[in-house]
Amino acid sequence: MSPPLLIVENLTVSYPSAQTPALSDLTLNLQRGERLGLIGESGSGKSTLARAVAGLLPRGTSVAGRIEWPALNRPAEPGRDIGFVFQDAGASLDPVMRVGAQIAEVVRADRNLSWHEANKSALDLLAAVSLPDPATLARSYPHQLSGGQRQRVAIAAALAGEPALLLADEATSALDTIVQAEIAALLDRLVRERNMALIFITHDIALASNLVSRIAVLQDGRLVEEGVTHDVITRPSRPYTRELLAAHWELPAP
Amino acid sequence: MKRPVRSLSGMVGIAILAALVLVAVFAPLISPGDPLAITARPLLPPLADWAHPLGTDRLGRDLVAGLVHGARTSLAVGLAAAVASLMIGSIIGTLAGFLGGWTDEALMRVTDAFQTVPGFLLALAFVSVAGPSLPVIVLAIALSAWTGPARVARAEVLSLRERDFVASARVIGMHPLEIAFREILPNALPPVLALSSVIVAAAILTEAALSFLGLGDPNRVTWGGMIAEGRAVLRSAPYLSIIPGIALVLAVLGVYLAGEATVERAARRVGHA
Amino acid sequence: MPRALRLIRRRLLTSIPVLLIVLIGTFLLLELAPGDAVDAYLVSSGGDAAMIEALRTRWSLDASPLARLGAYLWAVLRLDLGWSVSFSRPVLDVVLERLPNTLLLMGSATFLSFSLGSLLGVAAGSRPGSWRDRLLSIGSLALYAVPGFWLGLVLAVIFAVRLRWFPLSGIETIASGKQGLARVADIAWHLALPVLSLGIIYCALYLRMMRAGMAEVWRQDFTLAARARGISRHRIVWRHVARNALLPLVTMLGLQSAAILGGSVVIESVFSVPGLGRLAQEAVSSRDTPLLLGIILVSAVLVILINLAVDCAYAGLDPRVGGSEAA
Ligand SMILES: Nc1ncnc2c1ncn2[C@@H]1O[C@H](COP(=O)(O)OP(=O)(O)OP(=O)(O)O)[C@@H](O)[C@H]1O
Ligand SMILES: [Mg+2]
Repeated sequence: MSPPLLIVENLTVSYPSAQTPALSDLTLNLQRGERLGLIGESGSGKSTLARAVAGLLPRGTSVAGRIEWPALNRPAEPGRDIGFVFQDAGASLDPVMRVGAQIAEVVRADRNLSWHEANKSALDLLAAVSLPDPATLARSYPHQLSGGQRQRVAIAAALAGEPALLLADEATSALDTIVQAEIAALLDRLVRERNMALIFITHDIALASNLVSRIAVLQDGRLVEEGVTHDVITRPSRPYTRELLAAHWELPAP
Repeated sequence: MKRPVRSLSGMVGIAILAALVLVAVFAPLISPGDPLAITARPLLPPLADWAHPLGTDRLGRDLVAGLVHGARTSLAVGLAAAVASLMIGSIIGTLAGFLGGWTDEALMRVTDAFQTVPGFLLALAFVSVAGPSLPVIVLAIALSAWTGPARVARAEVLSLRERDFVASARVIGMHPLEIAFREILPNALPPVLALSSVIVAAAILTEAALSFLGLGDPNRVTWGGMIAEGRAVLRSAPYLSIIPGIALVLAVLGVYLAGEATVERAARRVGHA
Repeated sequence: MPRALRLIRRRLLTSIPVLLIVLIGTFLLLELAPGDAVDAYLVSSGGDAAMIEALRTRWSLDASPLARLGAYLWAVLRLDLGWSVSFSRPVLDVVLERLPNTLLLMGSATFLSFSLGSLLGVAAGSRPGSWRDRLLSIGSLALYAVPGFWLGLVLAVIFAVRLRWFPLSGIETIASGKQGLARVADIAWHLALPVLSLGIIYCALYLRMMRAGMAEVWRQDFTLAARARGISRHRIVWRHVARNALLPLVTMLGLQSAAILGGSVVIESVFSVPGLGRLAQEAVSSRDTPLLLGIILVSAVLVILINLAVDCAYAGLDPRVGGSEAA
């Protein structure tokens, strides 16, 4: 068997101003091309884990434990190895730069291309995220796009470095239901086509269950349950997980 | 990590300001007699005679006496002009924000007009027309400085206008102007007051510039006037212009630093509450 | 570009009432001044009682204040800003003659303060809290406290009196007969110290704004997103953070134009630059109120025009202003 893409071992993360760690002693593996769902109540540490994996924790945060990338044989680089999709796509784009240029600059940061080639590849990426008329779209500014279009642009920017892992931190929660489903379908297709691994963070367990093969449940910075999606959903071992499921599926908690 | 440096600069500011206020208040004790009187041989250089540690000017007037009494003028004008512009500004801002409609439109255009005319030119014109005396100078500076407070007060009042306590004041039948000035204005004041150190500092600088151009109160010593005096002998005795300027820089710096520290502390207190 | 045109139209429309208020203000100051225009005119040219009466009627000085205001507005509308007693020439002619020097001084000082200030601001704001940042912010605060005219004198003592690198006053060597580039160089040499004294003071303002603006932008999500996309720090600092933080500075450029015009009054006096500011001081010392008010009016128009230009520049820099426009 090939080495796993990502190994997280005994990870403990404390923010500078916090008394209790945001993540404690967390261990997790991810294979190449694997899809993991990350659920847990608000404040349970999902975003912290994503930021730790992507190397985006604020300065002064203390981190103990290991994050390793055996399949890469080197530390992962943001953009090139990890694509990050944020919840608020509008806020994750520079308001005064054309979206085409924002994607092209990622292309250029990761591959040694001229601006001309990078712009062409940005158009391809815009087409890949199913945006109509990429040429026109590339010339617009973020405020001229709809929420769904912005999130597609943000996904295109995340894909630009051809990463091995896509981290989607509540990438669909700010959108309305129909657009949510579209974005989820897009992620599904992209991850399959490009053989990327996916960490999908969400509150919407129904959405996650269609997308991921494994689910990890976080509570107060600890990993409390992990397993195959079907098992976790049908036979949750923890009352906490059951409550999460009940809250989101409106099933009576047994 | 940033705190110590910050509070250190705040302490320095408060220390400078306190020293300045003491000097200004006790000026007649520190340096008795008329600061405009001729007390020694002219153009005595600094550190030559301990009776006149900083030397004398072209006419033989003591530099220390000038600095000490000049502090009075600078601080008095700075404070008075700031109080006047804060008062004018908050009254106009409150009226504009509270009454809205055409009154607001008209008052804001007046504010625009005052911001369109270079403040210093306006002060210059006003003093030259009305004659250089302390009250006129204070008013002239206030004329060019009230617009900032007015805009801040208006913005604040606009956000307060729809609050519950205003609605209940309306319900009990309070007169609108009474609501504006007794209920709203006091609540709108803190952000307006946060501007005061900047305004005091700017007022001190404007007064100095007016005096420098010969539009200061002729019966008082001013730092700006001393600097202008020294210009005539800039080649042979540059200290006459340079020393009062240093006093000016220290005073303005003190006001800025102390003000910044106060605003920051107030912000922290609000943040904790 | 229709977006810019819309902006210009709106700005011009709001400028009309503003200018009207300025005119009423200058009229009030004129009324407040001791003596009237005729007295002032007689001081300079002399005349008998009959002439006084004739002048009073011609300048409608015997009419009601409102009628006088009307006459004043009508005169200004015909570009008649009155008669300068001290120059014995129309005010507008005198003012327009001095305007270019002030524009040159202001423009160069603004360019210096804006470019130097924003560059130093980027240096301070690229790493908030670093030593470089702290040093620059304390230094800029100190600079804030320095009166421009005093800085001018200090620079003059050092560079003109002691080192003799620059001339002490004037705008060009008198009767040098220099032409073309030599003349430009001569003027630049004369203006170096005034521009430096005026520019350095305002430099502090732009530095502090840039620094504060960058701190604000760093807190926004898209800087984190740019890091997550692997954009180099250098590029994030310049193309994203500084670029966004520049916007309020451009607005400030317009707001500051009145202040820098006021500042040049004193600086021109220090270095005897024959510009508007120096003219204002001359008007004050010769009690030439119409001239002084003419200078104020022209300055107000100048400030309005500068703000117009700044608005257009801003619209070019920020795609969000002026309503959404289809891509
Ligand atoms: N920058 C920060 N500084 C200090 N504490 C933080 C910071 N970011 C998050 N925290 C704290 O760390 C804990 C975990 O936060 P995190 O954002 O990882 O939760 P989450 O599971 O993503 O929540 P949500 O579902 O609301 O996004 C919370 O208690 C939060 O208050
Ligand atoms: Mg989160």
